[in-house]
Amino acid sequence: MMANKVDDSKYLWTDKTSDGHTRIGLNDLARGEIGQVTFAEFPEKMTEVAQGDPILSFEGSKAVTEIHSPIGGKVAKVNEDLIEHPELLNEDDPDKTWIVELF
Amino acid sequence: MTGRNDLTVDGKKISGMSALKIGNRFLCGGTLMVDVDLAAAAKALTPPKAKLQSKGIKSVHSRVTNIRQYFEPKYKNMTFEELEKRILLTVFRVTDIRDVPTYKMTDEDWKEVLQIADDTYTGDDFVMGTKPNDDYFRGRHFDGVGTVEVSFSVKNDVISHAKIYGDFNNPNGDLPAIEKNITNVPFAKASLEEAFRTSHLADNIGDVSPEDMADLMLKEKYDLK
Repeated sequence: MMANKVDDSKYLWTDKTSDGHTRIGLNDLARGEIGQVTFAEFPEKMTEVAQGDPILSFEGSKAVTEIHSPIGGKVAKVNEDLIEHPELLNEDDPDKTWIVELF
Repeated sequence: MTGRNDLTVDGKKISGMSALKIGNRFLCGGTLMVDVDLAAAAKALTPPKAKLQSKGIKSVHSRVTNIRQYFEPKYKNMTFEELEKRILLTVFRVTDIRDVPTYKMTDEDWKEVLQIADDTYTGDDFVMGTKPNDDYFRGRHFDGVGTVEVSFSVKNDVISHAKIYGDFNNPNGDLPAIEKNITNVPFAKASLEEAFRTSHLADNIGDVSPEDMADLMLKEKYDLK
Protein backbone atom coordinates (compact mmCIF):
# COMPACT_ATOMS: atom_id res chain seq x y z
CA MET A 1 0.00 0.00 0.00
CA MET A 2 1.50 3.31 -1.05
CA ALA A 3 1.04 5.82 1.71
CA ASN A 4 0.68 9.43 0.80
CA LYS A 5 3.90 10.78 2.30
CA VAL A 6 3.63 14.47 2.99
CA ASP A 7 6.19 16.96 4.22
CA ASP A 8 4.61 19.03 7.00
CA SER A 9 7.86 20.07 8.64
CA LYS A 10 7.12 23.78 8.17
CA TYR A 11 4.04 23.41 10.38
CA LEU A 12 5.81 21.64 13.23
CA TRP A 13 8.40 22.38 15.85
CA THR A 14 10.72 19.65 17.20
CA ASP A 15 12.47 19.61 20.54
CA LYS A 16 14.84 17.18 22.28
CA THR A 17 13.70 16.00 25.73
CA SER A 18 15.96 15.21 28.69
CA ASP A 19 15.47 11.51 27.90
CA GLY A 20 16.84 11.97 24.39
CA HIS A 21 13.41 11.70 22.80
CA THR A 22 12.14 14.12 20.14
CA ARG A 23 8.94 16.03 20.83
CA ILE A 24 6.93 17.23 17.84
CA GLY A 25 4.28 19.91 18.07
CA LEU A 26 2.18 22.39 16.17
CA ASN A 27 3.64 25.82 15.43
CA ASP A 28 2.24 29.30 14.73
CA LEU A 29 2.20 28.86 10.96
CA ALA A 30 -0.06 25.82 11.34
CA ARG A 31 -2.28 27.67 13.79
CA GLY A 32 -2.63 30.53 11.36
CA GLU A 33 -3.80 28.22 8.59
CA ILE A 34 -6.08 26.01 10.64
CA GLY A 35 -7.77 28.46 12.99
CA GLN A 36 -9.44 27.47 16.27
CA VAL A 37 -8.99 23.73 16.71
CA THR A 38 -12.17 21.95 17.81
CA PHE A 39 -11.40 18.31 17.23
CA ALA A 40 -8.30 16.09 17.34
CA GLU A 41 -7.76 12.39 16.82
CA PHE A 42 -4.72 10.10 16.62
CA PRO A 43 -4.20 7.21 14.21
CA GLU A 44 -5.07 3.89 15.84
CA LYS A 45 -2.34 1.79 17.43
CA MET A 46 0.33 4.37 16.64
CA THR A 47 3.45 2.71 18.01
CA GLU A 48 5.89 3.63 15.25
CA VAL A 49 5.87 6.16 12.43
CA ALA A 50 7.90 6.64 9.26
CA GLN A 51 8.78 10.10 7.98
CA GLY A 52 5.65 11.49 6.32
CA ASP A 53 3.20 9.23 8.17
CA PRO A 54 0.12 10.90 9.69
CA ILE A 55 0.38 11.56 13.43
CA LEU A 56 -2.79 13.56 14.02
CA SER A 57 -6.11 14.36 12.37
CA PHE A 58 -7.75 17.56 13.43
CA GLU A 59 -10.44 20.03 12.62
CA GLY A 60 -10.10 23.77 12.89
CA SER A 61 -12.34 26.69 11.91
CA LYS A 62 -10.46 27.06 8.62
CA ALA A 63 -9.55 23.48 7.71
CA VAL A 64 -9.93 19.80 8.38
CA THR A 65 -6.65 18.06 7.93
CA GLU A 66 -4.01 15.53 8.90
CA ILE A 67 -0.51 16.40 9.93
CA HIS A 68 2.46 14.18 9.12
CA SER A 69 5.64 13.37 11.02
CA PRO A 70 8.81 15.15 9.85
CA ILE A 71 10.92 12.24 11.08
CA GLY A 72 10.61 8.49 11.58
CA GLY A 73 10.74 6.80 14.95
CA LYS A 74 9.03 4.71 17.60
CA VAL A 75 6.38 6.42 19.70
CA ALA A 76 7.45 7.15 23.27
CA LYS A 77 4.43 9.27 24.20
CA VAL A 78 1.18 10.56 22.73
CA ASN A 79 -0.44 13.78 23.93
CA GLU A 80 -3.80 12.19 24.70
CA ASP A 81 -4.95 15.42 26.41
CA LEU A 82 -5.64 16.76 22.93
CA ILE A 83 -8.58 14.40 22.47
CA GLU A 84 -10.62 15.93 25.28
CA HIS A 85 -9.00 19.35 24.91
CA PRO A 86 -8.19 20.01 21.23
CA GLU A 87 -8.14 23.73 22.02
CA LEU A 88 -4.73 23.18 23.64
CA LEU A 89 -3.30 23.19 20.11
CA ASN A 90 -4.17 26.89 19.90
CA GLU A 91 -1.92 27.86 22.79
CA ASP A 92 1.59 29.18 22.42
CA ASP A 93 3.06 26.74 24.94
CA PRO A 94 5.11 23.71 23.82
CA ASP A 95 3.81 21.81 26.87
CA LYS A 96 0.32 22.17 25.41
CA THR A 97 0.91 21.99 21.66
CA TRP A 98 3.03 18.85 21.52
CA ILE A 99 1.53 15.96 19.55
CA VAL A 100 3.92 13.00 19.88
CA GLU A 101 7.28 12.17 21.35
CA LEU A 102 9.50 9.81 19.33
CA PHE A 103 12.63 7.78 20.13
CA MET B 1 17.19 -14.34 57.77
CA THR B 2 15.26 -14.83 54.58
CA GLY B 3 13.42 -12.53 52.23
CA ARG B 4 14.23 -8.92 52.79
CA ASN B 5 12.61 -8.23 56.12
CA ASP B 6 11.82 -11.57 57.75
CA LEU B 7 13.44 -13.32 60.72
CA THR B 8 12.96 -17.07 60.63
CA VAL B 9 13.54 -20.15 62.75
CA ASP B 10 13.55 -23.55 61.04
CA GLY B 11 12.49 -21.80 57.81
CA LYS B 12 9.39 -20.34 59.44
CA LYS B 13 8.83 -16.63 59.90
CA ILE B 14 8.64 -15.36 63.48
CA SER B 15 9.08 -11.65 62.79
CA GLY B 16 8.27 -9.14 60.08
CA MET B 17 9.55 -5.60 59.90
CA SER B 18 8.64 -2.52 57.94
CA ALA B 19 10.22 0.88 57.48
CA LEU B 20 8.97 4.16 56.14
CA LYS B 21 10.80 7.37 55.39
CA ILE B 22 8.99 10.68 55.07
CA GLY B 23 11.24 13.66 54.57
CA ASN B 24 13.88 13.41 57.32
CA ARG B 25 11.79 11.24 59.62
CA PHE B 26 12.25 7.51 59.71
CA LEU B 27 9.74 5.06 61.14
CA CYS B 28 10.56 1.45 61.81
CA GLY B 29 8.32 -1.17 63.31
CA GLY B 30 7.58 -4.84 63.32
CA THR B 31 6.14 -7.88 64.93
CA LEU B 32 7.38 -10.80 66.98
CA MET B 33 5.12 -13.83 67.08
CA VAL B 34 4.98 -15.33 70.56
CA ASP B 35 1.52 -16.73 71.30
CA VAL B 36 -0.38 -16.16 68.06
CA ASP B 37 -3.31 -18.41 67.14
CA LEU B 38 -1.81 -19.62 63.84
CA ALA B 39 -5.06 -20.96 62.41
CA ALA B 40 -6.79 -17.64 63.00
CA ALA B 41 -3.83 -15.76 61.49
CA ALA B 42 -3.94 -17.88 58.34
CA LYS B 43 -7.63 -17.13 57.97
CA ALA B 44 -7.18 -13.40 58.45
CA LEU B 45 -4.24 -12.95 56.11
CA THR B 46 -4.71 -13.27 52.39
CA PRO B 47 -1.43 -12.59 50.58
CA PRO B 48 -1.72 -11.48 46.94
CA LYS B 49 -1.93 -14.40 44.51
CA ALA B 50 1.36 -13.29 42.93
CA LYS B 51 3.38 -13.61 46.14
CA LEU B 52 2.09 -17.07 47.09
CA GLN B 53 2.51 -18.40 43.56
CA SER B 54 6.11 -17.31 43.28
CA LYS B 55 7.08 -19.01 46.53
CA GLY B 56 5.29 -22.28 45.75
CA ILE B 57 3.63 -21.96 49.15
CA LYS B 58 0.37 -23.74 49.93
CA SER B 59 -0.86 -21.40 52.62
CA VAL B 60 0.19 -18.76 55.09
CA HIS B 61 0.00 -21.33 57.94
CA SER B 62 3.01 -23.25 56.77
CA ARG B 63 5.24 -20.18 56.61
CA VAL B 64 4.87 -18.64 60.06
CA THR B 65 5.33 -19.85 63.61
CA ASN B 66 5.56 -18.67 67.19
CA ILE B 67 8.95 -18.17 68.81
CA ARG B 68 7.97 -19.37 72.29
CA GLN B 69 8.52 -23.05 71.41
CA TYR B 70 12.21 -22.28 70.78
CA PHE B 71 12.83 -20.64 74.17
CA GLU B 72 15.16 -22.46 76.56
CA PRO B 73 13.23 -24.57 79.14
CA LYS B 74 13.68 -22.01 81.94
CA TYR B 75 12.05 -19.32 79.78
CA LYS B 76 9.30 -21.45 78.23
CA ASN B 77 6.60 -20.12 80.59
CA MET B 78 7.75 -16.53 80.70
CA THR B 79 4.89 -14.04 80.57
CA PHE B 80 4.50 -11.49 77.83
CA GLU B 81 5.37 -8.67 80.24
CA GLU B 82 8.54 -10.46 81.34
CA LEU B 83 9.55 -10.94 77.70
CA GLU B 84 8.91 -7.27 76.94
CA LYS B 85 11.03 -6.22 79.93
CA ARG B 86 13.85 -8.55 78.90
CA ILE B 87 13.88 -7.13 75.36
CA LEU B 88 14.01 -3.55 76.66
CA LEU B 89 16.83 -4.29 79.12
CA THR B 90 18.85 -5.96 76.35
CA VAL B 91 18.23 -3.34 73.67
CA PHE B 92 19.02 -0.41 75.99
CA ARG B 93 21.87 -2.31 77.73
CA VAL B 94 20.75 -1.61 81.28
CA THR B 95 20.07 -3.83 84.25
CA ASP B 96 17.30 -1.76 85.77
CA ILE B 97 14.10 -1.09 83.83
CA ARG B 98 13.97 2.43 85.30
CA ASP B 99 17.14 3.26 83.36
CA VAL B 100 15.37 2.76 80.02
CA PRO B 101 14.65 6.22 78.52
CA THR B 102 10.90 6.56 78.82
CA TYR B 103 8.38 9.16 77.71
CA LYS B 104 5.11 9.12 79.64
CA MET B 105 2.12 9.97 77.48
CA THR B 106 0.06 12.82 78.95
CA ASP B 107 -3.74 13.04 78.77
CA GLU B 108 -3.26 15.75 76.14
CA ASP B 109 -1.05 13.39 74.11
CA TRP B 110 -3.70 10.67 74.22
CA LYS B 111 -6.38 13.16 73.19
CA GLU B 112 -4.33 14.11 70.12
CA VAL B 113 -3.59 10.49 69.25
CA LEU B 114 -7.23 9.48 69.47
CA GLN B 115 -8.26 12.47 67.36
CA ILE B 116 -5.84 11.44 64.61
CA ALA B 117 -7.03 7.84 64.88
CA ASP B 118 -10.62 9.00 64.55
CA ASP B 119 -10.03 11.39 61.67
CA THR B 120 -7.69 9.34 59.56
CA TYR B 121 -7.59 5.72 60.56
CA THR B 122 -11.19 4.74 61.13
CA GLY B 123 -13.53 4.00 58.30
CA ASP B 124 -13.35 1.75 55.26
CA ASP B 125 -11.29 4.13 53.16
CA PHE B 126 -8.18 3.55 55.24
CA VAL B 127 -8.84 0.06 56.59
CA MET B 128 -9.90 -1.53 53.30
CA GLY B 129 -8.20 0.92 50.99
CA THR B 130 -9.78 2.56 48.00
CA LYS B 131 -9.92 0.04 45.19
CA PRO B 132 -8.24 1.36 42.07
CA ASN B 133 -10.85 1.66 39.37
CA ASP B 134 -8.54 0.78 36.51
CA ASP B 135 -8.90 -1.60 33.59
CA TYR B 136 -5.97 -3.78 34.62
CA PHE B 137 -4.29 -4.87 37.84
CA ARG B 138 -1.19 -6.94 37.23
CA GLY B 139 1.71 -7.96 39.41
CA ARG B 140 4.49 -10.38 39.96
CA HIS B 141 7.11 -11.26 42.50
CA PHE B 142 10.74 -10.46 41.77
CA ASP B 143 13.32 -12.39 43.78
CA GLY B 144 15.33 -10.14 46.03
CA VAL B 145 13.01 -7.19 45.37
CA GLY B 146 9.47 -8.11 46.33
CA THR B 147 6.08 -7.97 44.69
CA VAL B 148 5.55 -5.18 42.16
CA GLU B 149 1.98 -4.41 41.10
CA VAL B 150 0.64 -1.98 38.55
CA SER B 151 -2.94 -0.78 38.39
CA PHE B 152 -3.52 0.87 35.03
CA SER B 153 -5.98 1.82 32.32
CA VAL B 154 -5.65 1.92 28.56
CA LYS B 155 -7.55 4.35 26.33
CA ASN B 156 -7.10 4.46 22.57
CA ASP B 157 -4.22 1.97 22.91
CA VAL B 158 -2.34 4.38 25.20
CA ILE B 159 -1.78 4.19 28.99
CA SER B 160 -4.20 6.74 30.47
CA HIS B 161 -3.58 6.11 34.15
CA ALA B 162 -1.11 4.08 36.22
CA LYS B 163 -0.39 3.50 39.88
CA ILE B 164 2.35 1.28 41.28
CA TYR B 165 1.94 -0.84 44.41
CA GLY B 166 4.00 -3.50 46.09
CA ASP B 167 5.89 -4.65 49.14
CA PHE B 168 9.37 -3.83 47.86
CA ASN B 169 11.31 -1.91 50.48
CA ASN B 170 12.44 1.33 48.93
CA PRO B 171 11.92 4.31 51.24
CA ASN B 172 13.58 6.70 48.79
CA GLY B 173 11.76 5.50 45.70
CA ASP B 174 9.74 8.01 43.70
CA LEU B 175 6.83 5.97 42.38
CA PRO B 176 4.77 8.94 41.11
CA ALA B 177 7.72 9.79 38.83
CA ILE B 178 7.51 6.35 37.21
CA GLU B 179 3.71 6.58 37.02
CA LYS B 180 3.96 9.93 35.26
CA ASN B 181 6.59 8.55 32.90
CA ILE B 182 4.46 5.65 31.73
CA THR B 183 1.29 7.70 31.28
CA ASN B 184 0.49 8.61 27.67
CA VAL B 185 2.75 5.80 26.49
CA PRO B 186 1.43 3.44 23.79
CA PHE B 187 0.40 0.11 25.30
CA ALA B 188 3.07 -1.74 23.32
CA LYS B 189 6.35 -3.52 24.08
CA ALA B 190 8.93 -1.13 22.60
CA SER B 191 7.23 2.01 23.88
CA LEU B 192 6.77 0.65 27.41
CA GLU B 193 10.31 -0.69 27.60
CA GLU B 194 11.61 2.75 26.62
CA ALA B 195 9.38 4.44 29.20
CA PHE B 196 10.68 2.16 31.95
CA ARG B 197 14.26 2.53 30.69
CA THR B 198 13.97 6.27 31.42
CA SER B 199 12.28 5.75 34.81
CA HIS B 200 15.34 5.10 37.01
CA LEU B 201 13.94 1.72 38.08
CA ALA B 202 16.97 0.78 40.19
CA ASP B 203 16.60 3.94 42.30
CA ASN B 204 12.83 3.91 42.51
CA ILE B 205 11.96 0.22 42.84
CA GLY B 206 15.02 -2.04 42.80
CA ASP B 207 16.67 -4.61 40.57
CA VAL B 208 13.94 -4.96 37.93
CA SER B 209 14.55 -4.50 34.21
CA PRO B 210 12.54 -2.29 31.82
CA GLU B 211 11.77 -5.46 29.85
CA ASP B 212 10.37 -7.19 32.94
CA MET B 213 8.24 -4.19 33.84
CA ALA B 214 6.82 -3.87 30.32
CA ASP B 215 6.13 -7.61 30.27
CA LEU B 216 4.35 -7.37 33.62
CA MET B 217 1.92 -4.83 32.18
CA LEU B 218 1.41 -6.54 28.82
CA LYS B 219 0.90 -10.18 29.75
CA GLU B 220 -2.43 -11.59 30.91
CA LYS B 221 -0.62 -14.17 33.02
CA TYR B 222 0.21 -11.43 35.52
CA ASP B 223 -3.46 -10.57 36.11
CA LEU B 224 -4.32 -10.17 39.77
CA LYS B 225 -8.00 -9.25 39.45
